[in-house]
Amino acid sequence: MTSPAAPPAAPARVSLFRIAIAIAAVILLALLALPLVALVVRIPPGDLIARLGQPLVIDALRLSLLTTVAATLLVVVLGTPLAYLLAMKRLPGQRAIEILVMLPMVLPPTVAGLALLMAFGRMGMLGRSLSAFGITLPFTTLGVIVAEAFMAAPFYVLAARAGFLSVDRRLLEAARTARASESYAFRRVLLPLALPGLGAGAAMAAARALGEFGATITFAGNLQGVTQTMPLAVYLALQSDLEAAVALSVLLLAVSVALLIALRAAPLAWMGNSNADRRRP
Amino acid sequence: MLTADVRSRRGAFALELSLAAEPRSTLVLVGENGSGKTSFLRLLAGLDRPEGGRIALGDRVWFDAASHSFVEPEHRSIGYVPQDLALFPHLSVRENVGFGLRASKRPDAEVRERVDALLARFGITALADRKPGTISGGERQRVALGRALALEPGLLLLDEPFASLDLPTRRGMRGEMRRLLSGLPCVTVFVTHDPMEALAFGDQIAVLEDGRATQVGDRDDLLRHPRSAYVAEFLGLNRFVGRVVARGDGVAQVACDGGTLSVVDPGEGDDVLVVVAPREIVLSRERPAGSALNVFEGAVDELTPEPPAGERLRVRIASQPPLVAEVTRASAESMGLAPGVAVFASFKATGATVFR
Repeated sequence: MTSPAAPPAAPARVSLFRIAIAIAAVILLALLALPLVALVVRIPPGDLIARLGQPLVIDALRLSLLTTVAATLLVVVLGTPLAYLLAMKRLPGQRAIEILVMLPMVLPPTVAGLALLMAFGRMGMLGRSLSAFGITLPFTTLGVIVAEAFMAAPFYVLAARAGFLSVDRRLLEAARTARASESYAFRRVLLPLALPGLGAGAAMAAARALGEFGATITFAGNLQGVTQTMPLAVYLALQSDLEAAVALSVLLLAVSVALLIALRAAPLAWMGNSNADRRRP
Repeated sequence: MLTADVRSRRGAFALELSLAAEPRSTLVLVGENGSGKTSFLRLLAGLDRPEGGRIALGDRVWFDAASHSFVEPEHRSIGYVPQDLALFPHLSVRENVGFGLRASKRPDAEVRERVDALLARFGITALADRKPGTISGGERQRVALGRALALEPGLLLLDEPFASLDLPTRRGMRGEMRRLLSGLPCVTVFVTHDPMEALAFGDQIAVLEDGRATQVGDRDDLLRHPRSAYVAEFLGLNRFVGRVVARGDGVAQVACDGGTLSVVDPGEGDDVLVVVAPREIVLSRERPAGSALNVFEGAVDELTPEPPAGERLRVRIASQPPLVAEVTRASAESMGLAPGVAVFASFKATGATVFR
């Protein structure tokens, strides 16, 4: 007998698809989380603080912060105009330029380091002219900054370009019909509205610079206090003092998490804002 | 005096227009979407560059194909109110209005004084520190007008200025805009798809079809002598030339071919032209009980879908005088409208626009 009013409850069917998805997701999350947990629990907090006081760690931290900030500034100062051009103008060879800008993202960092050496090394293409001006890049702190900027530039330029592109063209046209020169429209309309994108790009570039290892060690070497940034110090410490390596790593992890939070918070805050702006009473 | 003679091509679309307008006058470009209205405004503003022709305001030549001269938008004496207004979302109302003054590096005191005057003129002083996203559509409209007029432009460009407003706001803003435009010393070019707006605002009206002006003339010229079936259709189907035969309580009785209409008394003048938008006409199967002064009975003559989507139907009614109404497909179905069915067509006195 079938009664249309009360159909029998369908058997709770758990789809195989959902189970497969859940398992895959859990495995990957575990793969991502476990090593970090292992790293953090490896060393007691008291030990951690003591380790962080070592000259090796202090030197590396100081150098890392200095070079990360400098490389990020370099990338922002030089990358903003390039991002503006890429977003607003039709450049000759636009595609080639875009590929060039993205290349460091996919290039193995050691290859990048070697390429930098070929260009700016003592025997390199520009190295001799640079040393005539008293500028030496390889195996100097300046070299570390250049290597980090090389690796971080695409992250900033691409995000900044996207930021500029996200600004409604009609606002820029409105600015121009209200007598704004290109530079005034840039300062007063484009830049403030693209700022969240630029900020996100700068944070990503900083994160990339902070973690940079391959290009730095190839191009600038591994000299404590001069070119030995935190990732390099971790690598070095690993060969002699595992505890120090762990302490450095935990510190790097903390800085990375902080950057990531800043990265996520910036666009979210911006979106919250623009939603409020769009609200109609 | 604005003289614009432009040729421009974008893909398959070609624009070819030659228009002129005097200071203190409004030139309205009316046409359907895609007829080239906005393209023409952009050429005037300098946001796009024509392929040929010449644009000049007074003795300033903004574009001349012959001498390869082109003046960038920021160096043209224009005020531009784009369709979506394009207010700067991160700047306050005050900063939006003062944007052009600041951009042209006027002294602080002058900027403050003129912005204050504009805010007062548009009744938005209380909103000075608000962001455009937090004020109403009508208020945003005033901000955009303030921004456009801050530098006392020689040419004011208005692109569908009422399109972004809801209906009640639109009615109010129309009167306000008319008063504003009549007091401006500049040339105004006003673009709309709404024939009623064109008739209400245009000292001179250009009807645009496929990038060309098929008729340019004043209101009377267009209404009384539509040069093409398209223009006649476009300007509205219910046009009646008539004479005021009685007046009272602000309502005038107009005798025209086939019947008498009750309209809002236009004041002076007895020879009038009455236009009733098809959407103002309400159809019903029973005699309407409402307050509409104009009720006409007749049989449905013809039903034609209103392009492009065909969501609405035009209903031609063999009443005295004959009328054309526009209804939704759904209401036509629920009323059982079909050729031969007897209906009542009614509209309020305020639903008719009267021209002297």
